[in-house]
Amino acid sequence: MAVIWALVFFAVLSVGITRVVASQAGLLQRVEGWVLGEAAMRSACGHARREIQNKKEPYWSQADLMRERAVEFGIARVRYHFVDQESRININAAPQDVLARLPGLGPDLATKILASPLRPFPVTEALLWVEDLDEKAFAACRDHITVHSNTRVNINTASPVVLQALGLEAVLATAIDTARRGPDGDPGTDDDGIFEDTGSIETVLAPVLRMTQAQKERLDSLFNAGMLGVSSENFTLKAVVDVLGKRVMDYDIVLSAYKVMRWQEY
Amino acid sequence: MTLVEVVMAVTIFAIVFVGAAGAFLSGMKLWGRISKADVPGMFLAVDLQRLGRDLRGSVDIPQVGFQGSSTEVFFPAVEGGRIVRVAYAFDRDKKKLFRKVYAVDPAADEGAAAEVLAVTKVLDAQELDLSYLDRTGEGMEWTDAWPKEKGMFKAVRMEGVFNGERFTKIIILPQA
Repeated sequence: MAVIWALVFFAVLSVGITRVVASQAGLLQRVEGWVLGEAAMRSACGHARREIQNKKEPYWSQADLMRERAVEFGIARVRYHFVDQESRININAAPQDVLARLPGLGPDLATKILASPLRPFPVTEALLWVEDLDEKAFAACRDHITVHSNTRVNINTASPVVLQALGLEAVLATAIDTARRGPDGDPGTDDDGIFEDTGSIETVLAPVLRMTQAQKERLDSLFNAGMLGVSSENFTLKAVVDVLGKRVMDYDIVLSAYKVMRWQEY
Repeated sequence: MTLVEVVMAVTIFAIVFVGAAGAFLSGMKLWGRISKADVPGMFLAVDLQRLGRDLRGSVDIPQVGFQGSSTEVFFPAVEGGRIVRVAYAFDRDKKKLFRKVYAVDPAADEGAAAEVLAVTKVLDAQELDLSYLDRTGEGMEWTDAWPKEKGMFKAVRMEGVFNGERFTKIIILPQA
């Protein structure tokens, strides 16, 4: 009987000790997660930048961008994919007519953006400093704009909205999007169509659309003006860090092969 | 006592013994892990995590700028979709580190008082000194004053006393 009472005593004691230290163990795990997570993320950034530097072709398809990469760092693991910054309109480089065609803007706001003494805008949120540009207008255009890109929008990744903002007809913008998705209709899969250079555009579009002369000329003029291209140099790294299989942090990091431009952790 | 009663007693005893031993061993294991950990250091790390995340997430907005002294650091950030000026200020009398968020109006005069959007206490510390990593012609050096004209600092170093223990924490800005 005494043995059973002793066992009950030890069990109660053990449960008590476990509860007292469990909260501290949770705290320790959180701190370890943050410290390791940050180090792992910096390591993953190095991998990502090397991958950008060493890419074999100048162009990446949506499938290339969306493919999940993983970097192990001790007990931490970073999973990430790329989102192209050149899929957006650069508000510091775009002319008035392009800005005017963006959702939420229009000719008046586009003119005010170009006239703003705050240009070049350091972040897209600085557009809210432009006279008469309210949060509603910004919310409408924010997913289509950037400040972290070269001046060329990438035809391989730009959305139909962005392509139309560049002055392409809706039917051509939709055809480009359809051709990029490939036969299965899904973006980010292996059968995606890729525009490798300006010469390949007509061929890749052929199954979807026979371009008119005016459409060809518009595309040519955008390429010649340096407003449209087939490659990208700046990306957002969408990353998730797990430590011992538990998700500890999410990151959005804007970077190029040579520089980190914005670092956000959640 | 019948055989059935003996078997039941032994079974119950075995279950209680295994449960008790398991709970005790896991408790001791956890205790061993925690006793090796620097618990005050963990609390400090939790308190400073917000500062680290804020600094790493800061953006180079020349209209707002980076500025610092040995007790205060100011930097631009984007919070809730708007550009703000964040400050971490150590009050030497109250021995507390505060986080303050200021609204930014680029049209306002340089010396105009900015609207304070939020103030929160971050940390209780006996002492706290801030310094900033600067690139010089030869290399890098720590300086305890950072004027706005210098742009973005490379890193912030915090040296202080927390729970009677000295600590140093360096936060490196990846985008600098």
